[in-house]
Amino acid sequence: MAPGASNNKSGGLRRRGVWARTCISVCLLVSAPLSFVGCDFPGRPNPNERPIPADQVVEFGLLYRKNCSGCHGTDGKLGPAPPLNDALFRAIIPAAELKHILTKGRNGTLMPAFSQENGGTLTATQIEVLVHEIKGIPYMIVPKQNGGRGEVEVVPDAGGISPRWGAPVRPPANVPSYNQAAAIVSRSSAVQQHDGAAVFVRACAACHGEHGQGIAQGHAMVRTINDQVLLKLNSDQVLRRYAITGRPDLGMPNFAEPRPGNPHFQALTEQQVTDLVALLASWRQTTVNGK
Amino acid sequence: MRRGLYAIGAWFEARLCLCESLWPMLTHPIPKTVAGPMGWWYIFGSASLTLFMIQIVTGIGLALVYVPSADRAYDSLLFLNYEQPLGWFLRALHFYAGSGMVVLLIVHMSQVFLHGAYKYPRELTWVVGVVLFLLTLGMFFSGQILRWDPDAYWGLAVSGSMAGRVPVLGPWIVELVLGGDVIGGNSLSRFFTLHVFVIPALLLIFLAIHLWLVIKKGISSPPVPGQTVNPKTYDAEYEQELKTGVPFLGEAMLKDLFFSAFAVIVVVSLAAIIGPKGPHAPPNPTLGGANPRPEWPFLWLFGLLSLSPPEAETFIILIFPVILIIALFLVPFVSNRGERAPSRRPVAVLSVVLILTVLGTLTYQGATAPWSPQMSAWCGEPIPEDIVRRSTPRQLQGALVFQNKNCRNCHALQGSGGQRGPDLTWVGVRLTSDQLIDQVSNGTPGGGNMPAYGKQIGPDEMTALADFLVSLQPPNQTLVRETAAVPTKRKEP
Repeated sequence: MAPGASNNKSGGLRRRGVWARTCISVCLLVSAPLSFVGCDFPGRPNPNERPIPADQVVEFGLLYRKNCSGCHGTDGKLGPAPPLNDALFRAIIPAAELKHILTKGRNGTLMPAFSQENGGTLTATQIEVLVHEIKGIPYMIVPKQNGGRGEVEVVPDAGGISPRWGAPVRPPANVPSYNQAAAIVSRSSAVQQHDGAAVFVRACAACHGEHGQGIAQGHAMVRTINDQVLLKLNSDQVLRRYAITGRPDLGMPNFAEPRPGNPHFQALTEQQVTDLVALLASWRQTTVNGK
Repeated sequence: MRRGLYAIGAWFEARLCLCESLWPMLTHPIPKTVAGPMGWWYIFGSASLTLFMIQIVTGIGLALVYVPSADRAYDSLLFLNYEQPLGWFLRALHFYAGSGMVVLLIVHMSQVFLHGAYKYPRELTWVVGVVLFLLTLGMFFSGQILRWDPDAYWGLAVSGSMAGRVPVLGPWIVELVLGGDVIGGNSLSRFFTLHVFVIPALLLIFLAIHLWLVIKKGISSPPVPGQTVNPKTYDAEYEQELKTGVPFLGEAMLKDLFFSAFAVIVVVSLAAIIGPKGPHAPPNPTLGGANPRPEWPFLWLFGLLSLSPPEAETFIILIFPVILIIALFLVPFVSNRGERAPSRRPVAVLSVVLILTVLGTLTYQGATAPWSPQMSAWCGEPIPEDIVRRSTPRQLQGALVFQNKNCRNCHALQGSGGQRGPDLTWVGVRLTSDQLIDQVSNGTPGGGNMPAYGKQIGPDEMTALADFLVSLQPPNQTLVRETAAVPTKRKEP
């Protein structure tokens, strides 16, 4: 018995009882967590959340959320930049053009280059994923032929990953071509602007005012597009895109949809869209009413 | 059989003489009052020792898998987390047992301080205890580095920069700690050596000294108001007290055992429920988006540094911690006699309350206050849709400038985005267009937080941006404050 402890026999027994109870309690307490062995603990790291280097992310949702949603909106809509989740836009923009823009940015606008070689953060594979998703082409991510370990590439595959925004609708047969640079210009710019003004009155004035000066709403003008600041920050190609696709997320009709007060609106032709862009481009240099 | 075992035991006992040495240690008498309810104050030191044992066991387990090389360390942690059966649990237990150790040491030191247990003749016990506390913090820091993720990388970068500020010896210390001028594989090897060999060895040595002192100088009895410590008479009084004492191997040890078991259950549960800490994103010094934070025992210093003006940095980095450490060491030499009861030592009680409150507040600030820019907000945090819906075409262009020029990394809209600068959701109510252009072009006057963007934003972009920012007003706001109290001079970008 320990020195200093009671020599009383019953005290010793009681003490031993306390020891035994405590030891059993401690053993039970310590071994209690063992009863959960085999269970799926909440603390166990989820394999789906295993960290991936940023340049190896190929999941569209994550790529879009990290790189595009800031300007193009949460789901490709309602951002300050043109919507990407727009069926007509997705149908008419050539895949090569999309890839070019993502890689090198778009001249004359605030769209920056995203490829690593141009100072961005995306790899060629990641840009391919974005292109396939936006264009609505099902795809597979496969090991790169003759590539190093872990290198992958994107290949179209009808049975592969379905694009999140679905397959784009087939555009109407009369849709003007997307590319402004490819538009056939056979007349002088003055004639184009003159004709463009007539197109503007027919297609745009109801919402943007007769000369694009906007519509008075309370004390302010809204939907003003005859604005040098605005036009200097948008290239002709972007203006052409808006003229064709409109901005459905903000209620702007496309090239063929009815205009307010004009349910029988006749769709804009290739030539009319080109003229309209020529008019808007001319406004970059002058203010409202040609001043 | 029984006789055989007894014979083997006797053979060892004849050579080890444990009954002569260990048994008296276990049964050494302690003040009788420790066996009572007041004894619950004495359980924290032994519990931290128990957690240290867990650290040794789990540490050995981790070292079997961990590869201390710059190119493999991170992968070996991923292996532990996702492939090695219960590897994640081992990592989690190592982290929470380590955290528990620090918590229990703080509580233990506070209790010893409040009860005046550091006074004569236990000054050296306190001093060695402070060394143990500092070594435990060293384990925490070096352990964080071994995680070799952005937190580790930047933690090392910051500490390297701090060490570099030491006059004269700075570059030499950096070289010694990092194994070179910059962070690399050598740095990891050094911290592995520190974490696995050097600091644990020192911990064990000082722990042995600490326990030796505890046994030799005894456990102080619970303080009683009016019962003062006088070095001339204390030893005799204590010896007298022990005559009615009880053996340590009794009620006191039962309490220790019980609380240690409780501490183990807490850390095991935390490990099972919360899981391992990190590793976060792969280490990549080119990733500007990292938002590193030091481990929680150092968050208070991180918070203090972030809240302090730049002029105070060197003082806070180099001098302030040294003062704190020296103060801790000097505690028993400043007052090693007199009253021990907290009720008679208001300054001591207030000091503990004040220090713990300040540390707690700074830790909270360090953990939550968003000082770092959110580097991916510009391309990842959408402009709120209601703002897009009510914006004019020019304002939408301004919003694009806002995103494109990375304003969002420091400024939030409706709470989303960086928090380094003010939230700009209603900035149109506060500033006019001219004031906004002035602020954006020239930045905060006097070299403040906001850089000057005048040369990075073209005139049209600036106009659109200002138009957008002015439009950021509550929907029913009709008055735009167009006149400033002090006329501002418009600066062309």
